[in-house]
Amino acid sequence: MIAGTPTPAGSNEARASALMAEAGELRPVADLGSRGIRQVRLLSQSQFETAVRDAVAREVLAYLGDLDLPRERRQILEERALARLSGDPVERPLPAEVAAPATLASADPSFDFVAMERRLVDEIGRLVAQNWRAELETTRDTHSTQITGLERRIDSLMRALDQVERLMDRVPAGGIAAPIGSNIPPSTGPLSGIKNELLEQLFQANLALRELEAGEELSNGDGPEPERR
Amino acid sequence: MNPMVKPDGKKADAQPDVNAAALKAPRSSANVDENRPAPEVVGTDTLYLGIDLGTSRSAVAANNGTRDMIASVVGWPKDNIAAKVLGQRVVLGEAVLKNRLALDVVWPLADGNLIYSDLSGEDRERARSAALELLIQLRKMGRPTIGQAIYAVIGAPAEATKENKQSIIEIARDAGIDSVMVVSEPFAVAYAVDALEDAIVIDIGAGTIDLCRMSGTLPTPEDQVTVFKAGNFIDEEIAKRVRKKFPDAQFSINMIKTAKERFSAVVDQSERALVTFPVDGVPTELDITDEVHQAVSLIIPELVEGIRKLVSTFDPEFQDRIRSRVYVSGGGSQIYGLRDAIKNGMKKIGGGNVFLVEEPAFSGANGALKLAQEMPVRYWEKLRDL
Repeated sequence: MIAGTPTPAGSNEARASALMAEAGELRPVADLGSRGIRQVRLLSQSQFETAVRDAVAREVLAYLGDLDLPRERRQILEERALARLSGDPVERPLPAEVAAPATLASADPSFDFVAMERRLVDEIGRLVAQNWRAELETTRDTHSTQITGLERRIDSLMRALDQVERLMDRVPAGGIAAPIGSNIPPSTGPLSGIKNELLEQLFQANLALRELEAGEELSNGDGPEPERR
Repeated sequence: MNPMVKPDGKKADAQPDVNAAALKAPRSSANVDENRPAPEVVGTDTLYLGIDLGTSRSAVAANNGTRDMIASVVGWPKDNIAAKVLGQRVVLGEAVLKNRLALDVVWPLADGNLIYSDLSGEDRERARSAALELLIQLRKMGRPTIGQAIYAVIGAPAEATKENKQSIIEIARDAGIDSVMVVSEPFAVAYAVDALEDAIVIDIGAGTIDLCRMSGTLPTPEDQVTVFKAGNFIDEEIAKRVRKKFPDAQFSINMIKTAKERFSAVVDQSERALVTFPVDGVPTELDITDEVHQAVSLIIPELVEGIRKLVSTFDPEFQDRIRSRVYVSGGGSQIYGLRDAIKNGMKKIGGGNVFLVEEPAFSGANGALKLAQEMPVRYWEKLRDL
């Protein structure tokens, strides 16, 4: 959003303000908030113009190779654009052809300076939007590729884990060479504490079951001692 | 189903001397002679068994790599001719179903429990003998070697009574298993899949559906729910519906069970369930898709209600977590689309995630074996000597 101040009519600033007023859209801040916009950056008119000049300089550099210009003029344009971007503007005059719009504008009062600037801003906007879309697509593709790769990796790891578990079930405890029936070494995984506790509880429950049975047998007169194997 | 009823409706014949026969069967050294001292158990010479004692099928897993399954049914030849034809004193498993017309058939378990402890007289002896024969067979299926000590963890239903657990221990000892521990079946499954905390395990069997909440400790009765609408219930519901739709069709409950296992579908009805049953003696193709679908869907509401009960009485801070870790195992879990059906049903109680365990028919036996192997030897020895 650009905050401008009243400027004398007919000046460049006045024309730029008129351009902004026509090109932009006036919206209440609350409306922006309802659309999910949480913050807005305020740019002064001069900051905006600087940004536009920088953008134009970048576009000039980008498309200079495609322009059919004499070598010297091309060099001048390149120098000015580079100087603009490096923050060290030089006062070398533009060649007549390149400076034509300004000349025309000053020479011909009917020249529509506002329309020309609007076209320029539209073109820059289009180029910027195109660039964003391309970048967004690239990012999306990259993410999609990464997710697909990760899913494949998870699948292969799960399969490998299943195979290991199946093999572990089939391999005699203690390793391939160990005789059948040897005991599995104590678990050291994240559940080992819980497992040990559960095994202890299961044993105690079964012990209680035996003791209960033995007690019942005694009370039923089945014998002086619980059955022993 | 009354396991004591013979196919011809007559009372059972004289009791075969199964105990004597059991003693003749190959056994571990500990059981051949009761007067001998307990065998010297060496860590490398022990066979560990995980046994899932089921109403319809029982499974065994051993640390020598054995995985096997048998129908939990026992039959004795009705007469000498049948005995001569079958060439066996006692018949077990699927062979009983194939030859049931020549056999006195006993299913030793009902609703996941050994039935003999609730019976008396001849019926009790007969049912006990059947249970003993089944346990002996399961021990043999574990392929023990001569002189090997056998330690077994046996899965019982979540709500098995103290008496039933004691019956299992008693029968297992008589079957030649040196040291026995009884464990809640869904707990064994939870142990198999390492779902020991903040999880619910559902074990779908023929007699019962056991739901068990795991919170890092041995489940208490409050952590467990048993639903008595399971595989057998579905079979009966299908039979009822097929009988209504095709009044002239002739079929047995076993034919229905086979059809259900082939075509069970809770969600997907794209494949038609076509069976060939006799109609007035003529083999006729019948479409029982809708009947199978309707009957199988009947278990979902009670299953979801069981989950709700276990979730709602859990620590509110962890209810979301427990709802997102529901594991389904057991033979019944193979019903196509069951996972999605439970997941959809759970939307009414806040949603959740449902996982089907691998090898569902063996998950109980695998978990029991894992427990047996990880149980310290001193515990086994202590129980053996009691």
